[in-house]
Amino acid sequence: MVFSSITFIFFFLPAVLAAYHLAPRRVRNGLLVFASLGFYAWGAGAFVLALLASIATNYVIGAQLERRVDRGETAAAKRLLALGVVVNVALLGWFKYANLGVATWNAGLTGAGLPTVPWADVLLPIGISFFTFHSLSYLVDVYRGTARHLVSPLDFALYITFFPQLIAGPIVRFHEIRDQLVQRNETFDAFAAGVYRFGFGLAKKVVIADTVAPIANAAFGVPTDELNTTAALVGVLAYTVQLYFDFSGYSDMALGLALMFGIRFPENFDRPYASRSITEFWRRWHMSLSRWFRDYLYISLGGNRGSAAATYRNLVIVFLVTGLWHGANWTFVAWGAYHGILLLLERVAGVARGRGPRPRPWQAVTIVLVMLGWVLFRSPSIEHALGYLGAFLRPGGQMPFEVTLVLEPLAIAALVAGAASALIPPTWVTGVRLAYPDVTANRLARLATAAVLLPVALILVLTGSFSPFLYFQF
Amino acid sequence: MTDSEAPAGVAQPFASEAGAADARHLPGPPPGPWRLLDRLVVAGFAAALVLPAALLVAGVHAAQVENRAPRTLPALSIAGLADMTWPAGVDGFLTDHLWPRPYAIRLRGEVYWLSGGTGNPDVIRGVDDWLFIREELQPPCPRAPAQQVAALERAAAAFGQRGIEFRFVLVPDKHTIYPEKLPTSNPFPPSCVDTNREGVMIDPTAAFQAARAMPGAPEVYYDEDTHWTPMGAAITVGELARSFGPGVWSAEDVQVSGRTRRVLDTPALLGLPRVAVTPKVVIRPEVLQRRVDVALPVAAGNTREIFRITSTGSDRLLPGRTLIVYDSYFAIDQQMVAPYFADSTWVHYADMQAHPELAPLLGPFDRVIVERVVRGFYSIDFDAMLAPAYAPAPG
Repeated sequence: MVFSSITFIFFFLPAVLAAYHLAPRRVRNGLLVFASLGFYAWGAGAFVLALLASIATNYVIGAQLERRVDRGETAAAKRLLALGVVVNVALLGWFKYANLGVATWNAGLTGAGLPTVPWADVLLPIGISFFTFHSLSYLVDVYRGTARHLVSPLDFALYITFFPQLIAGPIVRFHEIRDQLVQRNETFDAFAAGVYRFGFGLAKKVVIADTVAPIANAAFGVPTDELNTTAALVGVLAYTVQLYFDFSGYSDMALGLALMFGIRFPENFDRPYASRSITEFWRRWHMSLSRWFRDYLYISLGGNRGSAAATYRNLVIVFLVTGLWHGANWTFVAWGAYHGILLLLERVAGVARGRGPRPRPWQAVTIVLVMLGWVLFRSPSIEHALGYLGAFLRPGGQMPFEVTLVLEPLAIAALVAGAASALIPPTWVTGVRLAYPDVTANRLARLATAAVLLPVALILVLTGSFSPFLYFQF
Repeated sequence: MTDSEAPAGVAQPFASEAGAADARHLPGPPPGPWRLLDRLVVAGFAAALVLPAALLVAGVHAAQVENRAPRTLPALSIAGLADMTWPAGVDGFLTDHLWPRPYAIRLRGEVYWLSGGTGNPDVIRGVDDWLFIREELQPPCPRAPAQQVAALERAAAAFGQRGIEFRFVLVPDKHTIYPEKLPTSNPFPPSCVDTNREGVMIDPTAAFQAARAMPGAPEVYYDEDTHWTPMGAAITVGELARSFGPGVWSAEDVQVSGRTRRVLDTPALLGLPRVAVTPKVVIRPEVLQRRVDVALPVAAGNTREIFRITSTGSDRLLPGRTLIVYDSYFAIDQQMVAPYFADSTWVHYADMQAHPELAPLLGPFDRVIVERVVRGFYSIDFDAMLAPAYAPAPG
């Protein structure tokens, strides 16, 4: 189930909100777990069993881990942590990367003229990247003592399954939210802030992202040798806007939904396209993932405590893994490597040691570099990405009709509005501060959300599945 | 981090703890009037979320706007849960029946229309707001024109050997009759529909162009529909009737009387219910037509109509039985075609393709007429579709 679906907004959400706020406090977590499992099963079917198995396994390991830590049995605790990490990474590896591994292996065998390994594709449980990272966060936090194990299995299950963050984040580190899982105060003000935030995110998704998506889909869908410079530029610009508004919109919705249940999630985006370096971009883009990698991988590798060479190595490893985390395709690895190299170059050039923001023109340089990266990210293969990049150097010629057809006035307007919001840095663009009604601009943003954005977004949700036929279908 | 905050020391490419999850940062109350706004917004939000479902429970269902039967609520089953067909079925049911949805679709359609677009890449908006469907500008072309014409010639020869008259009516796509109405920035390259189709039996293109050249003549196609107007239909029926010899057609057969309404098909693809009112054309009003549905023991995959029309009241009716394999153009104007045939049996071309057992069950026939629009011309396997109609009768 996705947040922008009719079933979610007009049936699931009101039912769960009503049940939650009418229920006695002691059963609320159980009710949320039940609803979240239903939310997951709606789109993942029998994979809900894999989710339950993951919850049970991590709960048991976490409880044992804390016992060892409390007793000072460091070696035993470390072994248990290693076991937990291996189990989770193996689960993620099997479901998400087995197909890529076998395909790559078979490609090598084919290249060598050898018979390939027979293989039936493994289906990917939705959200596995997120709930696996939540589980790992839980185990490491308990091991490090930064948060106590949750005694109630329902509380722990809620951490893993809470539907606002279950399938697309944000990635909430266990120590950030542990106490809120056990005890929280649901207030009207938080609920109201949640409504605004949800509405703002929904509008970002359905008004901007979904409107420009056909442009990106068309440009990335045609053979790259049919693209000219204009089409390629329009396509990557559309994807740049679509990705940000889709992902940050979804995060806003998640934050808003959590607030309706009295839970405060971490912010996930902070005007990333206003960044003036790639280093800054990663401080603003998918912040919850960035924090996760810093806490659990970068620091575990030694962070920047060693030599410069070790720091560079750690950064490259982190960004290669970041790329791979985004999807089982070599394009994502290449995208991660691309960002890792850019970060190294910025470090070598001293960008990261700057004492203040770089001059504004660097924003243009940064956004161009980010957009080039999105070509890798969006392309189905490295070959396609290279072909697409080659189209930037193909001025003249006609734009493919697939692209022309979707360049409608409203799509162009959404594209321009989305792109403009990346160039001007008003605080309301990402909605980061939308939850805080202490600034006039944010109050006005709330007013706009209530009066325009939310109603328009709800109308678009209702029309989102419109798929008419010319002739009656029997 | 804000613009005013300078990164101290070596900046890491990782987000800071600013904005991390923290219950201490739950929003507090805003000042007076803003709190009132909050109350109103929360109440409105709750109403917007609850009302559609409440109406559905109360039995208020949406009108169908997608030209298909509304989906029904699927029965719950373990298998359906495991493979997700049940949730998908419930999604479909809720979507189709949610009361405000048609209004939202129409509102969206109107906004796109006012903006100058269509909101549907399958609909092309041309000059003077003429609408074209993408399929006619970019049709599938799995077979070559010569291949199709040769297949029709084979069919004609086979029918001829059995003494069956055969006609094929090729309906032009709208853009070939009204090329000036295409958008000036039409990006579509020439396609198979623009290639030579000499040898096709009845192609009213020239007659349409001649009709358009007459001053004050009504349009032969609707501006916002894929189909011809009654005038376009009358011209084609005239071409067809004349092909059966002198005396079948008379200019007096066509009478314009009053106005007729048509719910336009292309705006419906945009969520816009629109109606066109055009001069009503009646052909051979003296002919009495009687239509009956034909029940057949055929496990048809659809319920397109198979019917029989018997005509009486004129001495110029073509005798014997006629099979009319129709596309949508003849379907909407069947009452203009039928008055030339004493006994016509009508089958949709898709049913003829899918069910070779139909022709022997319905026949034998004295003549066979096939009608198809150009954009679908190259997709039909004429040999397979028509062979059962000209095959020798069993026994």
